[in-house]
Amino acid sequence: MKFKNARTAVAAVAFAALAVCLIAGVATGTWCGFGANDIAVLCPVGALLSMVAAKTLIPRAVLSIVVAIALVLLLGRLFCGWICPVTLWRRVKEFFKPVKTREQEAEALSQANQALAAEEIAALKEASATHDCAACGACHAKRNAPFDSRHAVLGGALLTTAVFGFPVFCLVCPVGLTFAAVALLVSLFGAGDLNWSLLFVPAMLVIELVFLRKWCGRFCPISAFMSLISRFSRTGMPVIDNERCLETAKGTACSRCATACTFDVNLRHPDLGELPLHDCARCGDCIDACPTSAISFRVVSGKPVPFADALSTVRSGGKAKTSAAPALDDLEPEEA
Amino acid sequence: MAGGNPLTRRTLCIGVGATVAMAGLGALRYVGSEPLVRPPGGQDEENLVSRCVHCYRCIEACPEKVIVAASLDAGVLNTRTPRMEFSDCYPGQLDDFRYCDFCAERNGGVPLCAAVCPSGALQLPVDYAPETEVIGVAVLNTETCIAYRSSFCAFCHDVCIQVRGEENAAIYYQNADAADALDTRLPVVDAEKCNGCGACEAVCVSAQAGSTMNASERAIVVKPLEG
Repeated sequence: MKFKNARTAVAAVAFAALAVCLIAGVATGTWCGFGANDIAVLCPVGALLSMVAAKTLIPRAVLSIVVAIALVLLLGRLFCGWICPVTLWRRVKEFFKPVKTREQEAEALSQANQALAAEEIAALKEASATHDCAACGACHAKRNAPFDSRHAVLGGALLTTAVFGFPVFCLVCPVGLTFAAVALLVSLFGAGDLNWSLLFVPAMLVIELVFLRKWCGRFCPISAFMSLISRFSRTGMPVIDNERCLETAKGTACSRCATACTFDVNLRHPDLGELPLHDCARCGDCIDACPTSAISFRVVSGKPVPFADALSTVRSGGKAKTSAAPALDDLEPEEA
Repeated sequence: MAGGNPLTRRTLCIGVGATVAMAGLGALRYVGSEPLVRPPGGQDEENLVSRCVHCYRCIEACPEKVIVAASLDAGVLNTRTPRMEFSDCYPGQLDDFRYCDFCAERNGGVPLCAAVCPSGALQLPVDYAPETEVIGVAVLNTETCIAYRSSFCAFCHDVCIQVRGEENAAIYYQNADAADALDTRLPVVDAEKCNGCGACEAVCVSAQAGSTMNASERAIVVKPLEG
């Protein structure tokens, strides 16, 4: 089974289980606050906002944040790839997109990514002969930043919560709204309850997930929180076998891994993705997309390697398959 | 250097836009909100609205199914926070109604809603005791109450004795002396004794929709304290 289907299934089963518990009255909670009996963790953003609103330290909220940090350190934004119900909404949205549009978009993205890759490969080939490539970095423009619009939204959520004294973002969080929709359906069909939430909840979900492009990578403050921590994660990432990768082994601009990435990360050229590599959600789409099966998940994945270093490592490795290109063995690993 | 980052304008637009949108939503709290009857431990309104993250664990945990999520109609501040709902029961069922017994039977008097709340939005007072805890007060509308309008009705009175015992029952007859004239007995709520458990509201048989009175709620309903 492809990773994309596997993680959709995981998210769907997890969501369905919680929805059934909500209907049946088993106190598991939702992803906003999840647990059994007295043991529960809060959503780290909810926990943070709750404490800001109440202007107090809430022991369980602090503990929840610590747990979340530990999980993100181990697994990065795995939640985004495998559990978050927004994953399911994305599949629904994708389903309703005409096949032709989808193909055109994928093609355009593929060409853009290949062009970027070709540019970097060419620049490296040319530059490596003359100067220290890694120290210069002039062969490509960095297309992502350590902080982006999501972090601004997170800041806005903290600010408005402090000003108005209640977790404002929680009202519009698509994760919470998805569960709110379940509860609303129950009260609509159970008690015939008609109210304004029946309009508000679907309207907010549509605005956030249809009209705002790329909610997860550009708006979501939960994703922002996780990306603050995941940059220190060195485990569970997909890693490229440079001996088999078309780009490093043959010098072909392929970048299918970047094109396939649901989360706008570029595994081969980390600086060229819309989001930095630490936003990897361990979704596995790159593994499925790789034409030479060069990518696999590693338990200990280590520090992300810039393309220039990967290329020079292969060239200097003496495998001699691609001796046409100049050797780059005088390169030092670059600080990320 | 953060590199030739082309995203700064987008960052600014999205950051400012989202903050303004959230501020607009947050400011709606001053439009006002309907006072609601809260689950046990939720009587400090400020504490509840600031801490609740709408995880719905209290709603799920309630064995009596009398907690629901408030809708937008109750105000932005109340949206998706827990409130008590006693009017969902089929009226007049003295052997099958749902009310808040503070989980006396199921959890020895410690309400499960407050026990499972992960953010402390529902927080029992330090001197909590199920016998003294009050979540609201029943208010009887003599305009719509059957006993006041037409004929004898004893549902709220009887159920109050049933759940709280003769000693603590909060509903009594105004003219209990008139022993021989049952149909003139009028129920009255003793607000001092009422703990807002909702049993009376759950069994109240007063007509609501479709009646000539055009009542929007049952004749006896639990209201928040100091509402």
